[in-house]
Amino acid sequence: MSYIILVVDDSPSMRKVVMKIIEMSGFPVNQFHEAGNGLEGLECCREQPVDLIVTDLNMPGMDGLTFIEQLHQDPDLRQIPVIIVSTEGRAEIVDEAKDLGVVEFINKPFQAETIAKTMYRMLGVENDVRNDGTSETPDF
Amino acid sequence: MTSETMELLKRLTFDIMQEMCFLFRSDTPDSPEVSGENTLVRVDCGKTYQIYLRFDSRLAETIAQNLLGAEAEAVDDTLRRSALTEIANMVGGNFINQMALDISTKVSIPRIVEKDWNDQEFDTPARISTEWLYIDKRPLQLAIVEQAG
Repeated sequence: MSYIILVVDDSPSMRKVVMKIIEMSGFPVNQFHEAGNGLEGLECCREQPVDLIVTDLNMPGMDGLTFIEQLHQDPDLRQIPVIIVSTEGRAEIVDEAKDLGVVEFINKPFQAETIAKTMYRMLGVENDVRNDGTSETPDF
Repeated sequence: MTSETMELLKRLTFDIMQEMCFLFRSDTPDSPEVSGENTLVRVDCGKTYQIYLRFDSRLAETIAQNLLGAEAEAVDDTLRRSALTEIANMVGGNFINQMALDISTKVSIPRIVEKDWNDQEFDTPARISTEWLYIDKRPLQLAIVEQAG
């Protein structure tokens, strides 16, 4: 099975970094979608299927927490797992995200393997997705 | 503003360069300067702090290529600028975390600016501290402005 992943960040370079890391990890990606803020992310989710969302918090237009809140209010979208990748580390914000059901929070800066391992774990994907016979998470 | 504030800023910057761009600190020469083209990025941490990062042009190129894992020809001006503002975003966001600033304090959207701290007019008293960092043997000038009130 391969997955459709939505990457939401107002920084084009950070979107590319996240997508590149996911690709290099060997994670089975069917397709990437990109959005520059929560509003665009919401539109994307409503128009096409998405299996996983990786989102920043601090974005113009619609920030990450509002985006997640909106997802939760939509019965068709609330089951999509969400990973937050953000510089935000204050307990109040992390708690607010957890109250919205977000269970994975990655702080920037991050190591490449952190995002990949988190995705494997969240989606329950076997981390031996390469054909090299190894059973370990790919070494970055 | 204490010298510890600038030391924190320096440490954050070095950590981010290392972790995200695989670039390491090098010794600072006696007379550091950014000559020729450079890019100045500003990020605000609430109303109290303004942080500036002035990137030497070659350092900026290297940062963008390393961050994106791309060759030079694949990195256009838009991506280069985006990479630098993203670095500033990480510096600003982590500065807020490390300083344990009030929850209402938000990091601004970083932007590339022409005017630096010397060209600003401050409506409240401001203390300014600047430092030079050398990363991958290229200069990066850091400045932090702390405004009262």
